[in-house]
Amino acid sequence: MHWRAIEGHSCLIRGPEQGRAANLCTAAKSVVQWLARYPVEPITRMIIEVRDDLGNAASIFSRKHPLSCWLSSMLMCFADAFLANFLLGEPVIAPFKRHDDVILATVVWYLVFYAPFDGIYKLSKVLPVKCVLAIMKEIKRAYKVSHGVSHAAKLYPNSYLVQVLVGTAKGAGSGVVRTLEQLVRGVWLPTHNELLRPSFATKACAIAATVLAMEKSGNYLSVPHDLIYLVIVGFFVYFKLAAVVFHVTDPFAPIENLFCAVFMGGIWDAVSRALAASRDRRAGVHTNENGVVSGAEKKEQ
Amino acid sequence: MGWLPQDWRLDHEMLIDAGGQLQRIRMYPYFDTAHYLLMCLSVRDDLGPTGVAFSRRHPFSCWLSSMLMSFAGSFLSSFLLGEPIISPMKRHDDVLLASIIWYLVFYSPFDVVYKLVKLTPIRVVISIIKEVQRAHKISHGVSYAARLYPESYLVQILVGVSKGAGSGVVKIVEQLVRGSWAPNQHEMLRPSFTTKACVIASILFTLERQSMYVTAPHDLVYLCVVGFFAYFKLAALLLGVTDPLSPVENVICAVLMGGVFDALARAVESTKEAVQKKRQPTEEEILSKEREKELKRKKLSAAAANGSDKKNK
Repeated sequence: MHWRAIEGHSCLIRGPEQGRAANLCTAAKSVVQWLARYPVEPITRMIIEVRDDLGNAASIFSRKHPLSCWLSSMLMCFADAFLANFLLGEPVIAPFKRHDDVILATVVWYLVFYAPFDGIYKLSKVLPVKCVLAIMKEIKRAYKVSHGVSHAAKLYPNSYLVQVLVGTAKGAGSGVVRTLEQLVRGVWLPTHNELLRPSFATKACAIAATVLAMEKSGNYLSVPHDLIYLVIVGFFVYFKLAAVVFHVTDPFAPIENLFCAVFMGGIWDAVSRALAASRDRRAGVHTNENGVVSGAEKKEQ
Repeated sequence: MGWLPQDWRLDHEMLIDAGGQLQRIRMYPYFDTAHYLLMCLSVRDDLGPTGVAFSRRHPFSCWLSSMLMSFAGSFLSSFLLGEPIISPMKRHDDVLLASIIWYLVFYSPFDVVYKLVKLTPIRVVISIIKEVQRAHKISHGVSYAARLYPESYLVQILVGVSKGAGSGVVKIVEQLVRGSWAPNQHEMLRPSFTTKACVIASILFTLERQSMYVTAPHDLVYLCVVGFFAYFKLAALLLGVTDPLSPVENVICAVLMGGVFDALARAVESTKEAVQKKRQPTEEEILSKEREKELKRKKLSAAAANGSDKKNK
């Protein structure tokens, strides 16, 4: 509770022993938030994703259906706000309210799709540029998650699940909106959506939103907000760089696989297989490796 | 001009007066009827030859899809503005009227109503009445959005368009209600002329509302928009003009949407090849190469279209 109360101007009020760390944190935070206010890079990243998703047909599609191309780019650029507004019952159209953002996104869209000799697109594919864009986007993502959690906390102070969900939607809404965006482009691939195979970004956003919600509730984490924010930014940037440079796609995969193997049916399936196998053996039937199948066959007979 | 009565003059005042009167017309019984008739008709036409059988087997789905289309503008704009989506169903009279029209279109004895509406003169009259109603809805939508978001013109334009031409977007949902799903045919991919006209009309209304650039009185603007809609609807129905804007669009796309730069890139590529061959290409060679590339691109695009079709099936 203590830290939440003085969140905004923390380094002025805090004790001297925490002063230096707090100063560093606040400086980092202000830099990060200054970056977050200028969303050129994230938008570029988003539109490049749209273009990558179009694949080889991108240039032809953008020539034949400019409106649909523009709309799908806008949907992806403001996906987080669309999704969060939809969940919270606020006007879905609200992201179009700010002219600067829409105009900026439109300019970037135009450059990515129609720049002479595809200059911008090719430039963005160069590794250093790609890294810089990715880092900018991760910083913006952390800002959005924290913003979403605090917004939801204002509306629903007692429901942590809502806070986590809104934070995740703000941070990784593009995955869910992608299905709709593909629909706008006339492609319908419901078997490829984000909920079936959550990407690492979504999982990271969920974790960050959980941490932030816990910090908001004030009982479990007694670390200053700025420090948490910085750690989250570092976490995002670190794993994004790992993904871009070293192609580490999902650092959570081992943990998840273990968890699924233990709790999501793995143990009970093994036990039931073993039971079926032992029953078969008792009945004098030849046991084969796939005990479940033979048990089912027996039932059918 | 002797055959006209003396007091029939076409002056500014009279036009403004006519616009004002047109604006004050109550939409409820007659204009809405025309709208509902055309929407139910479009649902039935969309069902094709199986329309009658479908309406017998799935009356509820048929009714729901007709309602969705009839109130498409309101549904879409309330969705965008974060209002209750169900609110168009609030007014009993409208829903009742739409239901009666739906019943008449699908189940009238000997299909009288359907056949009557299909007759060209009646269809023209109904369509023009509907265009008047469309202009009314757009103006209403723009002014409503302007009250909520006075500073954001894009929102006002979008709400106006969704009020006027929401049926194109809602059509996807409506088809889903009828159990068919055709995501590669929708309005965003190939916007119809109606949608474009709605965009123009709402831009006009928005500009007029800000009263910086359009200084004509509101009534006159309204009259012009109604005339514009009615004129192009007549042209579409009687003369078969499907899209008067397509020449303008083609030019803009050719210039801005990559046409010029693509041509430049192609030219650079061909000269590069020529330099590699260490001789100047003749003009004929360049032209033939470009033709080949064009053919290839067409083939590619056809293949891409086929691929997406297959995926969707």
